[in-house]
Amino acid sequence: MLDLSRVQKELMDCNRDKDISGISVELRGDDLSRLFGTISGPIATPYEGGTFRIDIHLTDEYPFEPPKMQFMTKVWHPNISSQNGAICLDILKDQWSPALTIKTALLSLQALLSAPEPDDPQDAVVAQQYLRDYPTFVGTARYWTETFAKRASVGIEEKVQKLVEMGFPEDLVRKSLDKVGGDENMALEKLCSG
Amino acid sequence: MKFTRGWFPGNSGPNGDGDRSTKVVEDSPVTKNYSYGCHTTSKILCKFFGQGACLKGANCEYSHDWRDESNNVCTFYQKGACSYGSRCRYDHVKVSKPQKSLSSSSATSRQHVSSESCVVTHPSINAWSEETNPVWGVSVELSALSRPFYPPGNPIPNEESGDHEFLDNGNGGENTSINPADRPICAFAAAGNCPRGERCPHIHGDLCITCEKYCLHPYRHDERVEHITTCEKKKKNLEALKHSQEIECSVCLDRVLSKPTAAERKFGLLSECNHPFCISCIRNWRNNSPTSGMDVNTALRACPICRKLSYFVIPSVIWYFTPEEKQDIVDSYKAKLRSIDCRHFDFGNGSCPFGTSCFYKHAYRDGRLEEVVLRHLGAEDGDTVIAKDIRLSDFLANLHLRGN
Repeated sequence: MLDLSRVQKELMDCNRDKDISGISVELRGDDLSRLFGTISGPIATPYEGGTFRIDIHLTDEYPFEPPKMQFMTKVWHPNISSQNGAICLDILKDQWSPALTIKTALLSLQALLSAPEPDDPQDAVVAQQYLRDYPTFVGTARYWTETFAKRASVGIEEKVQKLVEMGFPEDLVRKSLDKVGGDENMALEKLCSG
Repeated sequence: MKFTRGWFPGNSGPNGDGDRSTKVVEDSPVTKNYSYGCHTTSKILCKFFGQGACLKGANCEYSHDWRDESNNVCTFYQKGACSYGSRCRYDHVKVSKPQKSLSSSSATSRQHVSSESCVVTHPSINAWSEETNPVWGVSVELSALSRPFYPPGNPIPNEESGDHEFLDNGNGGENTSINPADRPICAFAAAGNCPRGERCPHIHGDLCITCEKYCLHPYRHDERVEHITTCEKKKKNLEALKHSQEIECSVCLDRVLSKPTAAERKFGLLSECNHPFCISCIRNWRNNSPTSGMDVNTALRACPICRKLSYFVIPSVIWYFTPEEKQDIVDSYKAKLRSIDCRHFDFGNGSCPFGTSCFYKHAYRDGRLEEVVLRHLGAEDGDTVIAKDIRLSDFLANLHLRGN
């Protein structure tokens, strides 16, 4: 059974200082096991200024098992898959501890953005670029941040408007946007794939 | 005054049972109850024998000799409070002093010595106590029931009626000849208010600053010291419990002592670090299935916060604040487990995977403890070494054999 009281406490704790930490966690629906978190890109990195959304799924064994986390916002980073947002981070796998929380895990992700580990990559292409051609890596990462991580801050109504203009029915647009956590590009992909 | 065996009337008394028992004892002088050794109970008169019927006979560990005193001391009073107060049938006296005999003749046997005294008399001094207390008065706390039975018709032990002091019921405790250390303290005053005030026949105790009660006897030094130490210990325990209320489990983020069920309101102490968890959370984490990809030693057996490896968890209802307190908790837990028979060992029928490191008792059915078996191990250079006292933890921490 998922420890609901602990999750509630964690949510309250996260939202208490979200302005300072740049980390917030919100419910996706009525279910406490489906959450999404947002972290701001660390200063002095190619991710500065971006807001990254992370899908969080808590299993029934949480906190004795790590939460399942995945980037919903596309990121160009050696330890994060550029395809599906899968994260390679030890504390989300075998180094998890029940004393860690969603907030500390998100803080670790923020730290991962500022300190990539190309020797233990999730995305080999990005890792190779990081090691061989660092300036190009920084350029790409910054471009991805500008393209994907900043658009997410645009209001939801504008996105709906934009997608409806493309010719999709409004209720389907809203549903798709909701499903992907408000990411316009991912919603478009979803709509196109049917 | 000294009594010889011949003086004592038990041998010729009409109390058949008592006589027989006495004889049995005397006929078999090797029995332990008759050996005047260091065995403490052997010098105390058997209560049942005193009433004429002890079923244990010669095997009784108490004395069947009339010259020995009966132990009629109230154990509750010794501990500090007897709820029966003055109605208690047992003696409210202190034992730390030499045991004084309050036994005396019953009212009926008294009458033939001093017929002019009122029927309800208090037992007063007797000859035995003269060695320790030259003048011995008895407080009103003594009731008629506190006197041991003497076989009717026997002369009372004390024939020196000149030493008797017959006290009136009402002012028994106010006898000036009473050693103040032997006067009981007033329970009402100890509780805060004595209705008799100045006229109270009992001693009003001094204030104990710890429990804030007037319960320190002004003349009994040992009792005072004992009360103060136990009181301070209790207070410390209470304060620790109060502080423990605030402690939160780092896993469930709840206050451990505010959990819904009593079984959950326990801390799980880790042997190697000082991070607080509730017992269910830490056990749950340590029992997590290794299928989740986590290593048993580096993740599951480690503290979730500092990742320091601990081999066992100690349950405790109280949190500690000093290393000594923690050691106390650990030691008492281990001592408790050591008194329980190991179910893996099963009195020698089974085998315990923990071997000599097992916290539980490894004893055979006859009470013999398991012997540590020496293990001969072949060292790398071909020599044989004896590994002494192999412990599970040695293996867990990569046992290094030192060859000779």
